Amino acid sequence: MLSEKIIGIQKEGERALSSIKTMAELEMWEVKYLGRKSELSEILKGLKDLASEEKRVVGPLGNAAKESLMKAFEETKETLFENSIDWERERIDVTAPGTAVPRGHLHPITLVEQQIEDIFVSLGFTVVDGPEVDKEWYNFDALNIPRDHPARDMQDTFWIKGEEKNKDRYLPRTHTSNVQVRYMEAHTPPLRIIIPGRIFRNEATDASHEHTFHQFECLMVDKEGVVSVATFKHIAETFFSQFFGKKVRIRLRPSFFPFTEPSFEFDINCILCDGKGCPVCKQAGWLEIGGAGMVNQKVFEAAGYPRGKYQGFAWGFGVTRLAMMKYKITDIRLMMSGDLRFIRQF
Amino acid sequence: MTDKIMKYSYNWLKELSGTKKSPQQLAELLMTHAFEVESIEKFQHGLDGVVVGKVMTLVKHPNADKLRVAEIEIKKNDIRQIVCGAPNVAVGQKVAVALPGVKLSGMEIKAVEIRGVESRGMICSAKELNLGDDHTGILVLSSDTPIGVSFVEYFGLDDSLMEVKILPDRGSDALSYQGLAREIAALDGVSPRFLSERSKPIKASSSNRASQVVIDDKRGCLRYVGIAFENIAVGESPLWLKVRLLLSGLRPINNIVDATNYLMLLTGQPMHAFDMDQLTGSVTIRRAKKDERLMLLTGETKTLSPEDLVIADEKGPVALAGVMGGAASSVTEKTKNIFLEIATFDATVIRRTKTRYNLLTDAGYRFERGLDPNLPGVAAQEAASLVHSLTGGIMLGMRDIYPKVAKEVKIKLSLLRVENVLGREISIVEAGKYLTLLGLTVKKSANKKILDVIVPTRRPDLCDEWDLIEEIGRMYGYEKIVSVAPLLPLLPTDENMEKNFERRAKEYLVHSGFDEIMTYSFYGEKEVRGAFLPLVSHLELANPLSPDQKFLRMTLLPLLLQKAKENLRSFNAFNFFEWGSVFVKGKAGVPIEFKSLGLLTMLQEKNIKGEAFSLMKGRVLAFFESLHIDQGKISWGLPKMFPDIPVLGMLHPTRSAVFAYDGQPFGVIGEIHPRTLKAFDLPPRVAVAGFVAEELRKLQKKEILFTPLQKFPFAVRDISLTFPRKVTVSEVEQLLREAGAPLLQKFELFDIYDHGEEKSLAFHLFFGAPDRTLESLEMDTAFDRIVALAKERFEARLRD
Repeated sequence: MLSEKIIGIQKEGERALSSIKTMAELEMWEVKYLGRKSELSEILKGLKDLASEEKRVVGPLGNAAKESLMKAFEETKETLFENSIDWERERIDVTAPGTAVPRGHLHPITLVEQQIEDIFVSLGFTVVDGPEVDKEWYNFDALNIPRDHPARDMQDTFWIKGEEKNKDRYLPRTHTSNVQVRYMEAHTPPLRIIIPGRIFRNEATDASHEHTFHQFECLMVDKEGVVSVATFKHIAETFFSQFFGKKVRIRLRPSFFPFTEPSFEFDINCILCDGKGCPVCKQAGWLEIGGAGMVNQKVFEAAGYPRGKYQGFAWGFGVTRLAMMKYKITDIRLMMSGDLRFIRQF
Repeated sequence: MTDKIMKYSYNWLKELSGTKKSPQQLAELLMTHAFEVESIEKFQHGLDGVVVGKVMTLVKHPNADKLRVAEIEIKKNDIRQIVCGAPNVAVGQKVAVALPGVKLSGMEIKAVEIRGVESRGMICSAKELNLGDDHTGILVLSSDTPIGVSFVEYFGLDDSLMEVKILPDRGSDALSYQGLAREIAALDGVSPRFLSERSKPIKASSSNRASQVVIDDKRGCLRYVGIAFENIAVGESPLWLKVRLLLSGLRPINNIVDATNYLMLLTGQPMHAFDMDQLTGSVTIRRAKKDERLMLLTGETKTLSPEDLVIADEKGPVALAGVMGGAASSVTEKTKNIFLEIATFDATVIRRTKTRYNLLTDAGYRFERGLDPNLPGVAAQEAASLVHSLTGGIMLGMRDIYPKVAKEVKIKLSLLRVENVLGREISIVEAGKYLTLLGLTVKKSANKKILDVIVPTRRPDLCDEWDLIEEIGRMYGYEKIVSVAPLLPLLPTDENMEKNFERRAKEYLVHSGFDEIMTYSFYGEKEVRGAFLPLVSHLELANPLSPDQKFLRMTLLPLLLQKAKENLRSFNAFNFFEWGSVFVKGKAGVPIEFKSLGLLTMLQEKNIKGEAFSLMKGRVLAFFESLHIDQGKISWGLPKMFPDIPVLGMLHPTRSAVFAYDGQPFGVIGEIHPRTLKAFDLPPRVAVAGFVAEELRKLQKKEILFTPLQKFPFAVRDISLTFPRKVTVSEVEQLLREAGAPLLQKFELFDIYDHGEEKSLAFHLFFGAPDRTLESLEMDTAFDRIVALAKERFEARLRD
């Protein structure tokens, strides 16, 4: 009897709910079927007066009916809320651009320089800075490039107009190697440093030449026998493999730099064609990257180190060139152009 | 790199070295072990199909006075009839014949009829063969030239030219055919062929009739060999010699000049021939006297410097030693007797002279690299026999003044050091083999790990162990050195605080909407004037690329303004910055250099007075906050308090300010002075800021410490005070801090209202205490104190 009544209430409630159209009707329905004074609530309240056998049947049935009605009520409420909004009136054009937030861009040279620094720092190198305008001594003489030596012709040099009183001649540095002896004067090996920076050459500009560009110097010095040509090969291979994200091979060719002995040019296998030959490497399979060598003992002597005690390598290469390779930039002059159409691509 | 790129004839190198490698194989070998080969190209002789023929008969052309009809044998039993106009053609001559179908200088030779006589080919002149300028007659070949051979093959024109980059330290030996041949043979593992074919020593004449030679400057001239010849016949060089010169990129001139050029190519020793009849008395090598003048071969007359080394006779200088000869004593067609100079001059002296007059000659290039004083002895032998055979001249005698004989260098080479440097063990046998191949003398010493090495004087680049290690390394082959990871203690790297700060600052600026640009470190007078900077504070280049890049920038701002103007072509509004070194001329011209940060903002449009300034100031303050710069320490000064800051000249006088810390300025901010706007052609919606980067870095808080959150809520009161117009916000803020303490915790300016001579400032005042909620009365007292002090200090009143 009570059971049948509960089933009846549930059925009737569900039927009533299905025809509800407004929130007001739903509220009235809630009072009638789920309210504290609803028929179902009264039955559940009276459970305690029933015989235990009947209680066992009616109790679960009543609670289940209430739960089921509650669930149906929530669903209907949700549906009614959804239907109460005119979605078409709410519509916006999501393809329209968002509100502009100003966002700047780092210069490609900065990006590449940072990447280079991060790789070297992970290999235990320290980043060192030095003056862009330096004494002739640090840029040339200390590096075994004396005045009146043809090796001076290897780099076209700007000179600062001097004053009579001042016997030192100054110049915008022609390479970052000016920092080598400066740093070694103040430090004793072992040392592992990298020197990024701006350098200057007195040569006319065109799509592939600039009088101002960025270079990178790497210097690793230790007691004799620790850092060798074989070490250099390892560091260079590691660096370029990290930088290009793939295994890169190094090729050394004999060369001459006054501040290194032995000296070499170093090439990497072309990263575009993996050494098979392509227009970028002029079918050679190799790209010329920079110069390197074992630090000349005369440079150590200029820094105040005793001859023959230390040994190490120095190498330099163009950050500008690396950035141009990485981003396939075809005109070097864009780097210093200050043109935001260029900068905003990076 | 300006390595000397010298063109070498492959055939000649092959002949001297004995190599069997092809040009490509040779280039690969050289590149891996010695020098880069820039290019290899076939010599474009354009003479394919030209053959050697013999003039059998010669008759007058029946219908033309100046022409003759020749029968030429070009092969056994193959005789061709050719009409020829050259006056020098004669029966029995061997000649170069271009048969029909051959193309010479783009023109095809055809069988034609010339005034009724058939002509099947052409007998060629030197000019037609691109082998000289002579076109007055045909080229007559030597009588032993075989009939029917290919002209190109027989005279070695079928050749490849190799452009080799000779490294700057190898000028003494490798800028010569013999030197490079020696290198090639060493790389092939053999001794060069030419060493076994040395020419015979010259016969010393019984009476030496050569002019006396006096070396007055022994520092400048290390050795002087002079050979006198009489009765020479100046004329054209034989074909083989012309071919050698042409293949090395030199133009044949006459047999004397060609001989000196040929010998320089062959041995590396520059030579100079004087017309002996133009020399008076003895030959002296000395420094030039003041105001001495010399007319050079080029016709230019130079007033010499006392630093210049000259060759002089009794009347005066006749040549600029090692660089260029004089016009008066030069060899001409009329020359009968010559004095041939084969000398060694000091590299520095020659370099200074060549640089002083900007004279780029092959001789100067070699001398400035330092030549071997023992080379003239060897070269003189070659010269004596060559000049005699080419000109028929008779040697009168020879002088050889050699004050201090150059000695070979001895070096002790430790094999342990070889291994240490290369990172690869090289056996004593192998090391010895490489050095011997290069012509060095190697002796084993008592210590089995040490080699005694004697370096010949032609290799002045080899002075110590490391130089020898390089020779061993490159002979062994760098590609065979396997990379080895170093075993090193794990140590933290030293942090570069400045670089880290730079990176953080740049990253913030980029995130907040500034693009990073880079500009040149140079600008011109236009920028200096436009920005009203002091010209005298600028470092100046002695040799700028152009006048508009003459000065080193003392501030980033002028070029930022220039770039703003350029970017207005593509954009209406933008923000950018540059981080870079700037330079100021210090005491006695010593450069002062520091890193600087420059910011620029260009507004879309400007609606309100001071909007550009205000926007830049807001950005700068946010930048400070992001870098944890202690803003409490920064004071804002008005420009007039800092008359010594040069960049203020380009800023708007009443819309700019100076950042200072403890009274020391470290930055500026402002809109641009109208006169500078005009100079840079910019609209007035731009503002800039500039900082000394290192000072900014130092202002960072050392450590960031937590402050407990306020427990008791603030009570907020608003105040609006009217001040005379000249009172600044910063002065009022100072007043609030003084009068509001200790209960006034913070304040916010929310309104500025300008009205004529007065302005009103409205603030939210936040009162509070760490331990209690404030009573209304306490706040009233503080509020009244503020009003009273404002009245007392600035004659201010509460706004009506």
